[in-house]
This record gives sequence, C-alpha cells and structure tokens, in this order.
Amino acid sequence: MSVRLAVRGLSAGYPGRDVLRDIDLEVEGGEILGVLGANGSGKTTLLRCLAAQLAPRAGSVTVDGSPLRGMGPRQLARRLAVVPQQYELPAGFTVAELVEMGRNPYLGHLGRATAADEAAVEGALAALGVAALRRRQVQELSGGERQMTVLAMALAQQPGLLLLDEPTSHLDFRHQTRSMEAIRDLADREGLAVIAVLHDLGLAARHCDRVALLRSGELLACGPPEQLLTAALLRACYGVTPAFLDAAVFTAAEPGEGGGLRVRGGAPAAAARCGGRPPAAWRRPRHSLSREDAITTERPQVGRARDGRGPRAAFTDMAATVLAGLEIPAIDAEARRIARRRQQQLLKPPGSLGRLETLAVELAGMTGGDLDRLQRVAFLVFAADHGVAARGVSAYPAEVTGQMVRSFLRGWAAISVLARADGADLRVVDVGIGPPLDALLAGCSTEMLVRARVRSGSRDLTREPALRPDEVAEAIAVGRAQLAAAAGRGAGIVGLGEMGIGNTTAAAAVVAAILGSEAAAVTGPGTGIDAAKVAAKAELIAAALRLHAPDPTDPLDVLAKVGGLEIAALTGAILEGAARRIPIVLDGFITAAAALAAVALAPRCADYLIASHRSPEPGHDLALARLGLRPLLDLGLRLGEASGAAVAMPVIRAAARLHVEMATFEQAGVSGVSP
Amino acid sequence: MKIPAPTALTMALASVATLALVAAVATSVGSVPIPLRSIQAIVAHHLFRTPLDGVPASWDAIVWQVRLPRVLVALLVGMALSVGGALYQSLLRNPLAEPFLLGVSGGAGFAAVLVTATGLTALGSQVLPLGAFAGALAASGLIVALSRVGGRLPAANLILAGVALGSLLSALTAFVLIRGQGAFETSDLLGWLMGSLARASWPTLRLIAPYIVVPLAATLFLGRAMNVMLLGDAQAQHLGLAVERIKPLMLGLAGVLAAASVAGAGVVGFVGLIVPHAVRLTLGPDNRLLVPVAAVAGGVFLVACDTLGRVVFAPAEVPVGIVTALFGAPFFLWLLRHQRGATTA
Repeated sequence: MSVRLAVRGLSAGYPGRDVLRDIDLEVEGGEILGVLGANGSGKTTLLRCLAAQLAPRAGSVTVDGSPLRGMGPRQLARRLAVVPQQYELPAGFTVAELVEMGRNPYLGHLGRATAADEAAVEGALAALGVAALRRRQVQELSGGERQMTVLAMALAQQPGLLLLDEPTSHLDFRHQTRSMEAIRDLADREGLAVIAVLHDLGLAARHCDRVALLRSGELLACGPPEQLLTAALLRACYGVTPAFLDAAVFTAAEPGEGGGLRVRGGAPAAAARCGGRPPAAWRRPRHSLSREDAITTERPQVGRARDGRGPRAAFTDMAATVLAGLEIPAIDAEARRIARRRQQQLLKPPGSLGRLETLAVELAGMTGGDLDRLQRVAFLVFAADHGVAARGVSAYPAEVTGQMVRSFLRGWAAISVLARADGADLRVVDVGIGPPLDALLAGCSTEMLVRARVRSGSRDLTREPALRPDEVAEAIAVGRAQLAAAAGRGAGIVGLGEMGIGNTTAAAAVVAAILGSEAAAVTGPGTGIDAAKVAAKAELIAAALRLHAPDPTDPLDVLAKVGGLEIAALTGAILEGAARRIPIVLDGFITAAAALAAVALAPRCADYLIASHRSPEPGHDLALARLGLRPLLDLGLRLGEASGAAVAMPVIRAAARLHVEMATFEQAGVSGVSP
Repeated sequence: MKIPAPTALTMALASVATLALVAAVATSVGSVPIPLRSIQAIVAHHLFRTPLDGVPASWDAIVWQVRLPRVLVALLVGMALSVGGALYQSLLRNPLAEPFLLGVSGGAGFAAVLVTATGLTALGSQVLPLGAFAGALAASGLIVALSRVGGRLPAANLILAGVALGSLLSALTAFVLIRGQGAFETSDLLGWLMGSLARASWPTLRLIAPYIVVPLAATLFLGRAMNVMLLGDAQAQHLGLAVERIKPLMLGLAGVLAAASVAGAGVVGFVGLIVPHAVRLTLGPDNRLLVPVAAVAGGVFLVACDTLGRVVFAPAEVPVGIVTALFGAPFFLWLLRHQRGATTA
C-alpha cells in the first residue's frame, strides 16, 4: 500500500488563538518526515489536523486525493494510525488484547478476530520485537514497554500513513533505535508514510528522509536533514544554538555556515523542497547506531566548524570563565593524510595491523604528526569524596578514598604498579577528599600528591546540589592546571583516572542527564554492589535528577547539581589537553562522564580522546556511543584510578612506535603488492 | 486469568439455563417451601392452561401472584444494574462509576417523593415507579446536557455534573421528606428509597421489562466499542470509533437501564458497582465477555440477595438494598485495598 498525503494552505487554531498558518506539505509512501520545532510552535496541532481531530480553518488535507474530513472514522483508521503523546492503557488488558484493539477498524460488532487480524497483531508485535510481552498485563509494563505497545497497536491498524507524536519520549536508547528502525523498515518494505513529531535532533538526523521546521505556526523550512539541521536554521527555529548536539553526528556544513548535524549515508546538496519525495539517491540506508558505526565515521570531521560563536552562545557567563583562554585547534588533516599514506607504505600488508593503524593515523591528526612525544606518558588521578556515599551506594565506606590515595603514594595500588612499569609520571590530585589527609599520610612520601582541595567532598546529591557553580568552575580550573603542569613536565600523552567512593553514582547521574536516558539504563554495580542495591542506586539517581532537573544543554549545571569534584577536574583536564594537542586516554565510566561534559562545552575536544577499555558499567557503552569512541580493550576492568588507561597505554605506544620506526617497502627493498 | 471465549450460542443457552434455574429455586424458597415440581405445574398452568393437578390454590397464589413476579423483577433489575455499571465504567473510565452516579437515583428519588407528597400515588400502584422512571431519565438527560462542551462529552464533566446534581436532588428529597412528616405516608417511600422489591408485581414487570431487555440486547453488541473507549476519546477516535455517536448511545442505554431498575426496585446500591468488578477480576476486562457474564451474574446476585432478605427474618423482610450493601460494602472495601496502582476500570 502506498499512500500520498498532501497538505495545502493549511491554517488552524483554537477559539481565540491562531496556531498554524498556511502550511504546505507532502509525504508519500516509504518516506519518514520529521516535524521539528520549539514547544508551542504548532507541531501537535499540525498532527491533530492530519488526524482529522481538528478541523482546519483554511486549506485542505488530502489522502490520495480524497479529503480527510469526508472520510468515516473506520475508513480513516484503516488509512491512518496515530500514536499520541499521551495515552492511557486500561489495566487488566494484556498487550496482545490491546494490540488487537488496533484491529478495531476491521472488526465487526461482536468483535471476533479473524486469522488475518491475528496475523496483523503478531506481525506488529514481531516488528517491534516485543512479542515476548504478549501475555503481560498493562500494569506490569514499564513506561517504554507501554510506548512500544501503543506503537504496536498503531502498526496493527496496517495504515498507509503513521502519525507519531514524540514516539520515543519514554524509550531508552535501545528501544528508541529499535522502534525507529522498525518504522524505517516498514516504510521501506511496505511503503508506509510516516510523519513524526520529534524533539531529539539526533533521531531526526538519523532516521528521517526529510524534516519540516516549524516556527510559531509557520513552516520555516522543509528538506533533507543534512541541509536543514544547521546551527543557523536551528537557531532560527528554536531561538538557541543547540550546543549539546551529539558529537558523533555533528559535522561540517558548507564553509562559513555554522555547521550541521551529520547524517549518515550522505546526500547531494540540493535545494530544500517542501513537496514530494526526494530522489532515491537521497534515501538513507537503514542504520543502527552501534558503536561500530560511531567509530567508522571520519573522526576529524567531528565537531569541526563549531569554533567560537556556535556552541558557546547558549552558555552562561560561567561557561565563558571556565573556557577562558581555551582555543581547541582542529585536527591536523594534513598530518592524518601523511600518516595514512605512510601506513600504506610500511613493511606489511595494508590493514594487517588493524586498529593499531587507524590509531596511529588518529594520533598523527591529534599531535600534528609528532608521534615520538607519545613515549612520554603521564597519569593524572583526581580524587574526591561524595556526599552521596552516605546513602549506601558503594560497597565501601567513604574513608576508603583517602586510604587508597595513601596506597597510591606508597606505590602499592594498581595504578602505582602500572605507572612504574611504564616509567610514567603519576600525580594524584586531591580535589576534595573528605577527611584531612595529613594524619593519614604520616610517614609516606607526598612527592606525587598535589593538594588542590576545592572543598571537603561534594554534598549529597540526593538532597541538594552536589556543588555550587563556582566550585565546579574551580575544580575545572584545577584539572586544567594539572594537565598544563603535566605538559610542562614533558608529557606527550596523558591517561586520566579517578578515585572517589560513590563516584559511579555521580557519573551515572551526569551521563543520564546529558544523554537524557533513564537512570536505570546507566546505573551499574560500581565497586560491586548486588542487584537490589543497584536498583536502589538507580532510584536515588532518578530521584536526584527529578529533584534538581539539571539542564541537559548546560554541562556546568549538570556537573554542579549531580556531578562531583573529580569529575569536574577531569572535564578541565580533557579541555586543556585538547587545547594543547595532547591525546587524552580515558579510563572508564567516570572519565567518560567527564568527557561528555567536556565535549558538550567544546565539541572539538572529542577529537583528542581515546577510549582505553570497555567498562562493565552499563552507562559506559552509551556514553562512548555518544562520544563516537570505540574502546581499545575489553577486559572487564572496573577498578578506576586510571588503571584501564594504563593497561591500554602500551598498546597506544606500540601503535605510535610501529608507525615511526617500521621501514617502508622501499627502504627495505621488498617488493610491494604485485600488480 | 482468561478462559477461552465460548461460542455465542453456548453462552446464551448456559445463561438462560442458569437464570431459569436460579429463578425457580428462589421461587421455591420462602416461609412456605414449595417444591420445584409444583412451581413447574403452576407456571405451565398459567402459560398453557394445563390442569393444576392437586397443587394447593394457596401455593398457586404464592408463586404466581407474589414470588415469581418479584423474582423476575429482581432478575431484570440485577441484570440492568450490572450492565449499566459496566457501561458507565467503560464510558467514564472510572472504576467507581456505577449506574446511580449520574444523578439517576437523585432524580428518581425526588420524583418519587414528589408524587407521594402530592397524593398522585392514590391514582394507581404504578404511579410511583412511573414517576421514578421519568425523574431518573430527566435527571440523567439534564446532566448530559450540562456536561456537553463544544459537541463533546468529557468524562470528568459528566462525573462532576452528576455528583453535583445528585447532591442537590438528595437535599431537595430530604427537605420534602422532613417538611412532609405526618402529612403523607413515608414508610413505603423510605423502604423504596433503600431499594426494595416488596412492591414488585406483574404490572411492574410489564412496565420495566422493555426498557431493560432492549438496552441489554443492544449492549451485547457494544463490547468491542466499550473496550476501545477505555483508551480515551482521542485514541478511540484514532482507532475508527465514532466516539461522538457511541458516547451518547452508551449514555442513553445506561440511563434507560438505570431508570428502569430504579422504577422496579428503588435505589439498590452496590450491584452495579461490584458485579462488573467481580467479573473483571475473575475473567479479565474484555467487555465482549464481561457484558454478558455480568448480566447473568447481576441477575443471580440480586435474586439471591432478595431471597436472603425475604427468608432470614421471615416473615419480616430486609429490603434488598440493605442486603446488597451488607455484601457489597465489605467487597468494595476489599476492592479498594487491592486496586492500588490501577486507576482505570
């Protein structure tokens, strides 16, 4: 079934209030149109007109040439299904029974389902991958499962046109992707036309063929997302520049333009059109946003063209203070080209060194080609305490933070051993350990200790904001200063780590806030608590996020409300490292949280990050996917204190050393690939 | 728990058999026990003119004039109340909805008090039920009219208008009753206001039967629509339901059922609330099954309650409304304890 919906000169509103003015749109089978716009711009009103729920004041809506208003409700429901923003599902019904209600427009008065109806129900459940929920009752479903049920109900209608109002608002990342892919698949296979109101620009960029931008009831622009999701247009549409844009999908637009969302699959430049379907060449290949994809995007493009004015416009004066004097250079594209060419010529079949080759090319881009300096390694471990530790979120008491710092200094801890083996420069920075250290450190060398205490541990984020904004700024400044000091001691590459009982809680809260994901999706066992305690931890985090409602577009606000001192310091270190072209090796989950904040402040610093390993903490994968990073190792490490970065460091140094010291075919007099 | 849906025919046959059996047993029970065989003979005598064959004439009078019409009225009223309750619970998406929520009891009560106070009841035995029927319909019609906003009937408006008008009418009823003390006979009226089948007779049955049988039959075809209505007006519309036609239809059916039952037995509480809930808890919320099962269960329940009320303190009677409340209130409280989290019917 292929369907064509045409909107001509549509104006609509409510008594005493005009909402939409003179809208022209067309969608046809196989196409996904995203409707974007600020709250109150008329998106839902538009959907209500398209669903024949609201009579237009002027203009027309036609489906395959026949006007919508003339159709009977059953006829309409067979052509057009709606997934509303808010819905109620009556208790006691099972998912299968609810989805069968989607067959209502086909059922007779006694409502007996035929084999065709049952097939449609099963097909809808299977398409969304929720067939296992079949016998579950509504009251046993999570918010996401309820949303999938409503979506399945709409698919069971077997409509030609699907109208979605914020279809993924309750879904976690995995279900968002899965449901959008299912919709994409139906569009491709069955010729379903889809109009989706979306707030998530990343989703719009990934899954929509075209987007329509609404501003105060008028159609601002309509066309392929790669042309419309530019900083300038988004500012015009939403009134702010989206500084939080997904680093992995953000890319360069035309020179001189503010930049746009990267859309995979690419599309030729062409004038934006509001009608009709784009040529086949524009159609996006179906795509899952796996970590593989995230890494295969060309790293140097990430964040480019976002210099200066773009990202910072939305930020506060505090951001200006934190970022003062910080100029993050673009990746050196020339050095990358040279490195890539050299990798082709080295004495080995091209590609045979796998990740080490791409890693060397990336390192060349970061350092401007000087890979020798990567043999000078430094580790910075930032330590601080967390008020939330008093809530039993960790397997260990808060005193352990200070005691572990003592072990670092004595050379007993994992990072001490690894740093020693690497001949690396290790510094442990006290950004805010709770109890005074002096008594604890009696009799041990404090040569590696840096005292830069901002305050005595953060506050309990379940009760009050963890930090004041000025404390966040100060901790970031500590991180920047320590990275600068390490650079001054000659470091060419820096591994970052942390120590802080309770800090996976803060990190999970930061990640959930910035990614907009559910707390449960990013909460893990940390130092090793059991499942019941993990659930309690997730609930505390969710409650804290509800309590403080940190602004996801303002990383400083997130760090202040639910972050921690060492996380803020790590953020500062990342920013400073990027500005100095020093590759930053991230450790695990907590450093990834800091990296999310840093990238949100200055998108370009994503280009200077290396993910050392994959942590078992569930939020780590999500954070790395957002950062566009693929971890080098997967060893199940969950210690922290930069140990993962230290384990990966020899691999990185090996990549650099091979790149620099191997001979080329030519030098060795070995024949290359035979023609 | 779900049971496989039996075919419509088996269900219909089983329902009729159950109802006939319960009616027969209830008719046989009383201060004078009458064997089922004699009841069969008496019914056959009146329907087919067969001879009575040694059945005492007093038994004939007891069965035909007193017990049978009463049992049949109880049966119909019980069916009407529970199906009416199911309709309102689906329509208003509220677990506490019941047939008297929308001012029906208030309207019927006030009309009954008025016809009694003005002496119109002297004109015939059916004046009171007729008046109650008219008052109930008028009140629910008024509430629907008051709740209508821009061609739509929001559930919240219906409930609020029903509660408000119901309170007003109850106040007026109480006022007239107190002012009229001594001026007219109120004991009969009070029994009726509590819900009683003591007045039930063949004329009562003839008066209410069409207004119960026809809406009941129509509601059997609305199960699917009632399910979809539970999703809310907008979503029901998206699923192809002509909400603004179905809603007045459901309100009309429920209103007529409630008015007819109040005319037959006064204000019998709790049946319309608890029977649909009991069925829902055992068989699930699917109205395609719930409506017929609740109809049968409601009829059986009210007949059982009325029989208990007749027998326990015989020859004195406990009004059926008191018996249903004695059973209904504890059940309702139990329901409150176990319905946490689920907010829709």
